[in-house]
Amino acid sequence: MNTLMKRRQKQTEDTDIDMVPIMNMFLVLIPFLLSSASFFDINAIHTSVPVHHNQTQTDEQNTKVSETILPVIEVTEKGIVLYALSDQIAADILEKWEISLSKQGESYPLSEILPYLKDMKNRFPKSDTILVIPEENITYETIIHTMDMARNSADQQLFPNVVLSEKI
Amino acid sequence: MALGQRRYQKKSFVIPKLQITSMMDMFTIILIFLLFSFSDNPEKLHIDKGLVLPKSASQMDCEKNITVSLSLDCLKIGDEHIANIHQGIIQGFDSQYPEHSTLYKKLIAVRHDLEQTNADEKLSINIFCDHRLPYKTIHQVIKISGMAGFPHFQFAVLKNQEGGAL
Repeated sequence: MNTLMKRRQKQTEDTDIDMVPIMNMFLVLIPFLLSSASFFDINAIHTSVPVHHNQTQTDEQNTKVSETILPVIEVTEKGIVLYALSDQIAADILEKWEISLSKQGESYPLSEILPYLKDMKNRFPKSDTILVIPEENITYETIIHTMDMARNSADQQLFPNVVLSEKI
Repeated sequence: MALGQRRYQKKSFVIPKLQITSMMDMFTIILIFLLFSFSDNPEKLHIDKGLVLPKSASQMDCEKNITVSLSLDCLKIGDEHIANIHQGIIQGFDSQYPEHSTLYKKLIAVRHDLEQTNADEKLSINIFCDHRLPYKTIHQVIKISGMAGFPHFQFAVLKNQEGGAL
C-alpha cells in the first residue's frame, strides 16, 4: 500500500519549466520596443495656399483637363456657405449647390453639406480640389473638421487637395 | 562530532529558487502594450506643454520637414523661439510689411540653407498649431511662409481613434 502511494506521488510531481531564457528574451525585446514605441499618433493634412499661374499655363491646362468644378466652403461665425466655381459649367447648374447653413448652437452642421459635396464629386469625378475660406476668428479645430469633411466621406474620397484662403 | 554536524549542515543547504512567475506576467503585459504602440517610424518631437493638437480622421503620415509650432502664447521654428503671441496676434508682425517680421527673415535663411543642401526637394512646412487658435494667427504664418517660398503645408493632427469623418 505504501509503495503504491509513493509511486503515485512520484508520477504527479511538478516539473519546473526553465523560464530564464524567456526572461532573457523579454529583457532584450522590451528596451527595443520601448525605443520604437509612439505614444502619440501624429498624422498630417496636406494643404497649400493659392499660387499665381501665368495665363498661358492655365490656358494650356484648361484645354487638356476635362470639366471640373471648384467647391468653396466659407466658414463664418454665423454658419457655413457652400458654393461651386467653374469656367466650363453653366451658372444654372452651379446654382443648385449654393447653400447656406446656420450654426447650431456652438457646432457647425458640417454633416449636412456632405450630400452636396458627394453630388459634386459624382457629377465631376475629375475634380479633386476644394477651397476653404474661414473667417479670421474661426478656430483651428473647426477648420480641421471642415477639411476632414471635405476630403473624405465614410465611403468615398471627395476632394483631397484642400486650399486655404482668405476672402478677397 | 562537531565536524560531523558542520558537514551535515553544508549538505542541507539548498540554493533558493527565484519565483519569476509574477515577473513573467508583468513582462508579458508590458510586451503586449509595447507591441500595440510600436511604430515603424518613431520620431522625437518636442511639443510645448500647453499645445493641444486637434483630432482628425487623416491617415497620412507626418513627413519630416521644417516645424513651425504655434501655441497660445508663442511661435517657434523647431526649438527656436521666434515671437510671442498675444490674443491670437503675433507680436512684431505688421500686415503692411510682413517681410520685416522675424519669422520671414528666419524662413528665408532656412530656405537658403535647404536650397544649398538639397535643391530638388519640395519645400514644405509642418505646422503644429493649438486647436483653440483663431484662423487669423494661422493665416499670418501661412502668408509669411508663402512669401518666403514655402507654399505647401502639413497641418499636424492627432489621429482620431474612432476613425471616420468628423
